[in-house]
Amino acid sequence: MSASTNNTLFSRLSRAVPGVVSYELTRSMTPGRWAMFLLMVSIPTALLIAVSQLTPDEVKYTLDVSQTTQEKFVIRDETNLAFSMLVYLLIPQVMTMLGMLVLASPIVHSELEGQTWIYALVRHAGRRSLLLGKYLVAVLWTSTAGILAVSLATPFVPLKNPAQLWLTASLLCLLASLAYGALFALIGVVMQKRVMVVSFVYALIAEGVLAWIPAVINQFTIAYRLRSILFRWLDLSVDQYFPNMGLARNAMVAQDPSGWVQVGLVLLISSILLGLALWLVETIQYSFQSEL
Amino acid sequence: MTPIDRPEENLFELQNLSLMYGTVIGVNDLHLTLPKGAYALIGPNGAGKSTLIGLMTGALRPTLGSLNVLGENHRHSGPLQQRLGVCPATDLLVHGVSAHQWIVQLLRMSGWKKSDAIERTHQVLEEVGLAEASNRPIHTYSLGMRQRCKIAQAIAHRPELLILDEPFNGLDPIGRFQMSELLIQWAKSGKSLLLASHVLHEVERITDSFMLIFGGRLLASGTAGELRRLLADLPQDVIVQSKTRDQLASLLAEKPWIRAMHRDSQPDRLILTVDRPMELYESLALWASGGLVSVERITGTDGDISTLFRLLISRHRGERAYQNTGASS
Repeated sequence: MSASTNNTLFSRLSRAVPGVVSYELTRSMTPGRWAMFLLMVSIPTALLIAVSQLTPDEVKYTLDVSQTTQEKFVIRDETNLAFSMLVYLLIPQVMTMLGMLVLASPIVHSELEGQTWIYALVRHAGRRSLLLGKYLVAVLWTSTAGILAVSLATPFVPLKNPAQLWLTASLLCLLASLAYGALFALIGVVMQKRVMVVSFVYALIAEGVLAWIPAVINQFTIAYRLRSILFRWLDLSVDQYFPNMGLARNAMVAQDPSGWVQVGLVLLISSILLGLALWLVETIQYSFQSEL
Repeated sequence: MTPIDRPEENLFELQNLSLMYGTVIGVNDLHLTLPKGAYALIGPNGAGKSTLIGLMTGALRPTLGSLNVLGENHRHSGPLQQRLGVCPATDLLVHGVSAHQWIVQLLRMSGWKKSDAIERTHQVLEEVGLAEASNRPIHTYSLGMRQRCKIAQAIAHRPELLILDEPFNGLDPIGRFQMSELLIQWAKSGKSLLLASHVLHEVERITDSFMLIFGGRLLASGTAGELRRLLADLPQDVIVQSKTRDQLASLLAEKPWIRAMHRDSQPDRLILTVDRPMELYESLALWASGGLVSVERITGTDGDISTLFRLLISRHRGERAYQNTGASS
């Protein structure tokens, strides 16, 4: 027998999680999942290309006054800022968040509904490995869709430094997947009914509204951290983007000059939320006894 | 570790075990200690079988009391889970994966290495007769194949105790026979088995140790022989047909083991509720041979386990036994 009884939980997880990931990846290769993937990639890409094409050239470009010998048009600062924010909002913020909401929220609920929870329940580290494995598969699907959408949209969007935006937005897709995945997995572990509705309402209120309030409250949201990384790494102007907010605009992004502190904080938040979900999934008693 | 290595361990130790679903009783104040072996948990639908299994597997937590399985507390369930194989009652609703992929994943979830898990999966699917269909998607299987697939996952990690909830559900006669044979082999191999079913005759081939559960209470437990002895000691309803009904009634009225006597609407019939049926039968034989009374017919319980079960349930419900025992002569 290969699994001796004195194996540590870590060694069991290190064997179990890749097994779950491989199994769930195989299982998720369905037409429905591919259609969802296609929508996740195509909708933000199409919107960005459409907005870019519909924006008049005089709004996008300005004459480079530093050129003395010949006329040269460059992308306006305002346009660069607006399109950078649009890429961020549509892909890492909205698409990734919604993707993780759909894939990570029902991790436990789908097992309960499909009457397969019992098979994980009666295995050592079964619940944890199932949660962690399905979480990683959700991160893989969503971040891949996000990075692909960013890659397809960036060449068509008027940006001063498209490579820099591609790199930043791609990393933000991964960070957003990790953080929102952990958040929605936790909600899915705690809530046994209407998981998606609760997750959606939470996302709308916390990440959609509170994250944009210039007060301490927005620092507790994932969107605040992601936005701060965007502003720092693309060297975007807070004064320009929030011109009517006075001093309050300083509360819209973190005052971290490098942005790496925010990356660390997003990873820390993700770890805490996921750790909590992994602890709770082992301790909560789910209502499935009638089907056992 | 094999069962032989831990001979002193009991299979189950239940102390004051109760579980409430809000105000509904799941199981009620169960006390039981069972040595290792094969047992059938018998009870009608809703009796509390699945709840008890849920408690034994650690899926449910008791409201009161404690439970040890294979000498280990079920809540510290990590090492214990390695020793349990569970086959739930529900149908297997897995789409888009084969039995092979599914069982490999479950073995890896149990901490097995990939290569070992693959090898063991081949073996176990062979054992349950699914080798040829092992790469077919599970959702294309017949119900019998899905049941065997569930059994395969339950025994794949070589557990010491196999717990099955209604394994015969939905199986055709051939499937039932194959399932019985598989479980008989399991029990013969010396490993422990707990089999929950609401159909008694299905499990009588597999084991003769029964636990009868109803309304969340354990009504009785023991071997078929012990339960039959229990039946003999339990009050039973007996119908006696006699042309000398009045004389018989006056003789019986003096006996302390007669609990109640009723004249039936049919002529010559006397309905008795008897504490010690064996003494009744001896007395009737004595009186009849002495010419004191005539006895044309005695109708009582037939002494099988199902009768006992019905009798115990009737008593639990507070009903008069003879109305529900399906008594036969």
